[in-house]
Amino acid sequence: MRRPTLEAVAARAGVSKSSVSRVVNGEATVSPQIRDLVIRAVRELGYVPNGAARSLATQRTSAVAVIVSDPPKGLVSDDPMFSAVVRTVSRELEAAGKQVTLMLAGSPESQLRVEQFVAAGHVAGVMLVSMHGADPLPGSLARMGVPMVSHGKSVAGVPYVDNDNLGGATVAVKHLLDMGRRRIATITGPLDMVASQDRLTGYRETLRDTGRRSIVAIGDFTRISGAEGMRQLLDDDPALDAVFAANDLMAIGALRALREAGRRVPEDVAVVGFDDIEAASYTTPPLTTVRSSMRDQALATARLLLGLFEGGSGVPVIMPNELVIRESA
Amino acid sequence: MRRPTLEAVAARAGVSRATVSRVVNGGTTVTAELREAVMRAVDEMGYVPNLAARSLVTQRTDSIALVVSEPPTRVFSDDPMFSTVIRSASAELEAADKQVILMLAGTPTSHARVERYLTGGHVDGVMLISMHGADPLPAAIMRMRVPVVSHGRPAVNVNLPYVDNDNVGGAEAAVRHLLDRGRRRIATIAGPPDMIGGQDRLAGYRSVLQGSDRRSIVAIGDFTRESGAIAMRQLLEDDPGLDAVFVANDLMAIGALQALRQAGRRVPDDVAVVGFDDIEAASYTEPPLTTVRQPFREQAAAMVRLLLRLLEGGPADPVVLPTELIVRESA
Repeated sequence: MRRPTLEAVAARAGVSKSSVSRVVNGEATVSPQIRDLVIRAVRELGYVPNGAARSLATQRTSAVAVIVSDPPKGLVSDDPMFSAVVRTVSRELEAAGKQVTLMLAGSPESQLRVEQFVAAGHVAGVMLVSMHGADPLPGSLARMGVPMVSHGKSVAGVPYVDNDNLGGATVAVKHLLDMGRRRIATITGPLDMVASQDRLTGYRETLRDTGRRSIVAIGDFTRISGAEGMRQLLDDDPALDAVFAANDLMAIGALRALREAGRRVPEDVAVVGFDDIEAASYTTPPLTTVRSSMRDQALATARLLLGLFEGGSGVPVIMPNELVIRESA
Repeated sequence: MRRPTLEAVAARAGVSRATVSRVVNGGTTVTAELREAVMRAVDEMGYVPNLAARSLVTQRTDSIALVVSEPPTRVFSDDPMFSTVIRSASAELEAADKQVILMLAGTPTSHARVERYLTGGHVDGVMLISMHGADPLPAAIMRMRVPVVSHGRPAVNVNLPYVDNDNVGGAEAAVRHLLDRGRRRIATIAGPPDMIGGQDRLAGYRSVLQGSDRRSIVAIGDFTRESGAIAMRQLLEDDPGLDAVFVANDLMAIGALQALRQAGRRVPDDVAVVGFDDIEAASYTEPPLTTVRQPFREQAAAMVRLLLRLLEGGPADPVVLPTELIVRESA
């Protein structure tokens, strides 16, 4: 099928080529009548202006790439963080007139695709979400000189918005100590993610300060890894009386494993999560957790990028969080 | 940093510009030696072909818009369907070598923006996730003559190719399961009246009960956990003797479980509960949730196949995928 040309639209609408061009490019200097005529002709003819030609001509774009690392092992995850961050960021950037291009970058092939897309000048800016430390992508994108921010700490030099992971973990473990718990274990997130490392450090330092030893299982932020981590911890130390899970999804998995092992929560084992996702209020028993507002963090990250477009310097932001006490600890 | 040009790569590799162009555009009419020489030069110089220029030549953007049109009530819900569907669809599109442009369209302003973008020639096609019946967007996109595939049968009467799952059949299987277990007063928590998936599930519930001469006991939710809890409390007030509830999605079933627990009813002993969707959380409730599995990933894959077929000018018959009852402990 040959596409109808700009000339054909102008002829059909009975207006000049430049009027058609102004209308399809969204310029405001056209009378409503002419606008209506053009839009009608565009619809009738099925005219499609060539966006690629336009972006080549103007050499600028309003697109922003939001790059999300794939969930572990290529699983399709229902991680509520993805939903909250993608929705919040999209709304904020779109309100500022930017178009969001979502790119998943887990495999080496998809990372290469992202690099090529950015290098080809298709986007005006980049936001990284939950990148793993070993990913080469942040470094190679940083070298391209495109404005870039990170949701969560990333490689050196990339402005970021993070929440106080270390402080949140410290508060969670202190709460367990204050309840009189003495053998406090933890289930960590993937250790190549800065957020996981910071939460683990908060746990370790708090225990060390009170002369207690760490009991650690490693998860990957999924429910199933929380259940597996909990079973392993019960094997390693059947007498443990508390667990700090580095996110709520893993805490939900841990609750199931504890139920299956016949341990009562919180009587036998107290459980604290991290994030305060909506599901944390609906567990049995409802989950005590560290609230970090993913929406506020996402909003701040989007604003940091918009600030860079205006010539801002991109000072990193650390958001506070708070302990929400329910019934699990 | 200046980007290396095609000319520079050609000079470095000692070949013609046309050869470099053929190699980076994936042409097959190049000998293995030349190909290797070009790729080495590309690697050494960090050359990146200009996609915008390329798409000017081919008239293809290789981009697909994933348009999510949500009613405002669901704007800030953490509905796992959002992330599952978007991730599945993105993965399938990328596997087909398409770039995903995500567009959220919840407000009239963003509808206008989506329409402008889609008529702007930025994308080859559209995957539309429209969640409510009053949505004007499906009809608007239809008029643009951009190839489009809908996730779910559109509620409004437009002739969009779609991929859906068998909502009626799934609901029927759920209610029959409750009857087979000897339940006699089976209530339902339905989805919002303007969402067609929810309406189909309500129709399935009604048809099975009618067939066995039982009356319907209906409360309406909006697919969130909280609305499930509220609806469950209302049902217990309306009919304290109910012994089962079919809930139109798992999130509301999770809310219903909480309300039943707070009311001192045991599940499944006093009240059996069946959900719909089989989201990951359904395996983690107390007790684990019996539910109807909706094949999210297969649905996304089928949508991508249908859209690619449309792009090649093929037929666009709707696809309806079967659902499956997953029996766990709640019923």
